[in-house]
Amino acid sequence: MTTMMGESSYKLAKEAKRTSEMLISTYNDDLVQNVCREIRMLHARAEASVREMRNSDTAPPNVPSQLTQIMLHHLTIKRNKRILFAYHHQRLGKLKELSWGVGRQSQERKIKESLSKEENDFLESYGDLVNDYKSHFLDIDLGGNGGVGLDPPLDLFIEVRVLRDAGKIITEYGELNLTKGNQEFVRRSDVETLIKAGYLKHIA
Amino acid sequence: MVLLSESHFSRAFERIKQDSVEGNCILFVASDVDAICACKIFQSILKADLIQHKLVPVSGHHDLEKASKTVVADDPELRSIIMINCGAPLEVFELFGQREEVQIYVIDSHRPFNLDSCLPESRNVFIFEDVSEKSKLNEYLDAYEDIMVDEDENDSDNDGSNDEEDDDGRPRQRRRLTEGGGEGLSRAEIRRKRQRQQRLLTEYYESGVYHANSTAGQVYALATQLARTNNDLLWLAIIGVTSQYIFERIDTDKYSNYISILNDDVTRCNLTLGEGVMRTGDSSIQTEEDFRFMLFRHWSLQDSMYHSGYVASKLGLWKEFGRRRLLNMFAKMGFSIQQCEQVYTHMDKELKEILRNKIETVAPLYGLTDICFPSFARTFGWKQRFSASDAVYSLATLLETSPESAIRLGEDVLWNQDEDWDALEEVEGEHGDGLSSIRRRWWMRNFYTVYDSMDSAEGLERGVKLCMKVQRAVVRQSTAVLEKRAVRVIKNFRTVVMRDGPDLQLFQHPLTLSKLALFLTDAYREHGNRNLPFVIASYDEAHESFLVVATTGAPTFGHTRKNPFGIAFQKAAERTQARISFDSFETSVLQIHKNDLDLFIENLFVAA
Repeated sequence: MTTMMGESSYKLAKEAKRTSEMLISTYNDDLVQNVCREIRMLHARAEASVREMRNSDTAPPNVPSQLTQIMLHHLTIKRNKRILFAYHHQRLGKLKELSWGVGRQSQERKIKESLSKEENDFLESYGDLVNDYKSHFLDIDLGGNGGVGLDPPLDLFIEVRVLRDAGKIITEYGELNLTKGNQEFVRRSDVETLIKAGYLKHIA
Repeated sequence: MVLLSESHFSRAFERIKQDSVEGNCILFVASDVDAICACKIFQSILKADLIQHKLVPVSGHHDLEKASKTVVADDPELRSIIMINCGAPLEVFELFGQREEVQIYVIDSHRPFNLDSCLPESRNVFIFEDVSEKSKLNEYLDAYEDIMVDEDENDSDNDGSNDEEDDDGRPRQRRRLTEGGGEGLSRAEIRRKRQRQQRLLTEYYESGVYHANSTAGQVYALATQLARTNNDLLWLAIIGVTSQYIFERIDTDKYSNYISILNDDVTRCNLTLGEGVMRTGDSSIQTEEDFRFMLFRHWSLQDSMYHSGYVASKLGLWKEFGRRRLLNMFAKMGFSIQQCEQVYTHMDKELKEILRNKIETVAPLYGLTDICFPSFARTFGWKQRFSASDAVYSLATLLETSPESAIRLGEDVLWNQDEDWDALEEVEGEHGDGLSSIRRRWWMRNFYTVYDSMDSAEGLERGVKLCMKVQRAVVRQSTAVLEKRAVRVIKNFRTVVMRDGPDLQLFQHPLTLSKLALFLTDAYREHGNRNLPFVIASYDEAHESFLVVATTGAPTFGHTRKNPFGIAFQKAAERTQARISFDSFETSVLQIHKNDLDLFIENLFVAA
C-alpha cells in the first residue's frame, strides 16, 4: 500500500465537516467504498499475522513488532468504522430533519439524486412513519424548517424578504401585496405558511 | 405642504403612526449607503411601535415608476409613503397618482427641492428639511409662489393658509400681494419684481445639484426626538454622515457641525472605563482623529497611503519622483521600509504609538496639511475595530461591485449564497428607453447584502477586503489614464473616455466611476493649473452603452461645488438627439448609447 493508512477516511471526515452546514450533499460513494476496501484489507492482513504467530514457535512477547502491527491494524480498522458511522449518522440526521419539515418540496428531485439507494429507501420509509404519526395530530403543527413547530414564537411581527412573487394575500387585518424583492414587516401568523413554502425568507 | 423643520419631525411620525392603524405604509429606499443607514434607523423606530410596513428598494426613476404602477396603485388601503434619499427633485404627488388620502413623506439629502411639492396646495407632501437652509429656502418659495399666483390669477381661492409650520411672515406677505395685486404697486414695479423672482428661481434650479444634511442624520434626529435612540442607531447615523463627507458631497465645515452634534451622543452612550480596558462583547463607539488614508488599519501603511486619493494626489505617487518622496517621508518619520510594508496589525507596537505624532509633524513638510479629521471608531468585541470611514468604504464597495467582478478579483464574497438569491437578479436588465446596463442585474442583490452586513463585523470585513482590491484597480486605471495623457480639455471641463482596459468591468457602477473621477480630480487639482470639472465615460460592451459620470472640481480639498451637470446633460441631449437614459437619482449620472457619445460631449456646455 503506497498510501497512508486511514487516508481515505480522513478525506471522508473532512468532507463531513465541510458539508455539515449544507442540508443535502452528494453521497460520496467512492470514498466510502475505498474505506470499506481498506478495512477488509487490513483485516485480512491482521488475520494473516495472527495465523503466522500461532504457527510459529516463538512465544508472543518475544516478537513485539508483530504484536504492534496487529494492534495498529486493529486500531485503524476501528477508526475507519468510527468515521463511517459518523458520516452516515450525520447524513441520516439531515434526512430526518427533512422529513419533518415541509418546505423543501421544490428541491425534491435534487435531493433524490444526491442520495445513495439505501438513503433514498430510508427517506421514504421514515417519511411514511412521520406522516403516519402526524396524521394522529393534524391540528398541532409538529413541523420544523422555518415554520412554527413546537417552539412558541418570540415576536408578534417579523421581517421577511420576498423571493418570489406571491401576489395578494388576504389576511385578517387587511391585504398584503407581495412582489419580488420587497421586504415586509408583518404579523408572524400571516406569513408562516409562505415561509414554509419558500416564497418568503425570514430575516433575523 | 409642508416643510418640516427638525422640531416638528415627531409630529410627522405621530401622523404615520395614526395612519398605520387603518392603512398600509411603504418605504422607498434609494440604493446608496446613506439611504440604507437611514432606512435601518427608521425601520427600528417603526418596529418598536409595531407598525406594519413594506420596504421597496429603488435604484432610479424607472423603478419608482414601476413601483408606483404596481405596488402603489394596487393598494387601496395605502396611507403613508416614505421616501428615503429619493424624491426631493420629483413631483411626488403626481408620481403616485394624486391620491388624496395618501400622505407622502420625503427625507432626502439631494437639493434643490422641487418647489411644487412645497406649495401649500399639495397638502399631502411633507418634506423633512435642514434648519440651516430654512431662510434661503423661504425666499425661493416666496418667489415661486408669487409666480404661480400670477399665472392663475383667476382662481383666487388658494388660501391654504393653515400652515402651522411656517414662519409668520409668509402668509401675511401672500395676502398682501393678492390684495395689492393691481392697486398698491405700479405695473412696472410688479414686472421688475417678477423678473427678479424669475431670476431667483432660475438660479435655484440651474446652479446645480448639491447635498444637504445626510438622510441618516435626519432620521437619527427624528429618533432622538422620539427618545428611541441607542448605540447601534448612533453608529448608523455616523456611517451616513461620514459617507457624505468621504464622497465629497458636503464640505468640511458642515461635516464638523454634524460631527459635534453626534459627538455629544457618543459620549453620552459610551462611558469609557479607562485606558486599555476592554470587555468581551464590547461594541462601543469612541471618538478618534482619523487619517485620510484609506482603510489604513487593514492594509500596510505604504499601501494605504499609496491608494488614498488625498496622499496620492498631493505627492504625485503615479510618478517615480512621487514614490521616492513617499519613501523619504517614511525615512524622515523614522520608520523602516520593511515596517511600512508590513500589514498594519503586524507593525511594531512602538511605531504604532508614535505614528500619530510623527505624521502630524512630518506630513505638513510634504504638503499634506490636515491629514486628520475627526471621526469615530467602533470596536466589535475582540474581533475588530472599524473606523467610520472603513465602514463606509466597505459598504459602498459591497453595494457597487458586481458578483462577477468580485470573483474575478479573487475575492469570494458570500453574496447571500442561498439559491434563493438568484431569484432577485433581474433577467432583462432594462433601464427604460431601451437602454440597458449590466448593473441592473445585480443591484438588488447587493442592496440586500449591504442591508444584512451592516450590523456584523464579518460582513464589514468582507467588504473591506473587496474594497482593497477594487481600490487597487482604481489606482491602476487612473495611473494608466494619467500616463497615457488620455484626458482632454474641452471648453471648460476635462473629459476621459475609457473604451477598454483590464478592469473595465469594475467601472460599470456610478459609485466606482465616481471614485475614479474623484481620484483624478484630486490629482489635477494638485498638479494641473485649472480646477475644472471632470466627465468620465466608461464602456459597457455587453449593452453597447456608455456610463457617464460628471463631478465638479472643488477649489480646495474639503470643499464642494454645486454640480450643474444635470441640466447640462439634458440640454446637450436635446441638442444632439442622443439616446440617453437618466435613470439614477443623481442627476450627474447617465447612460448613453455608444454611437451618440462623441457628439454629446462636443455639445456639452457648462457655465464656468
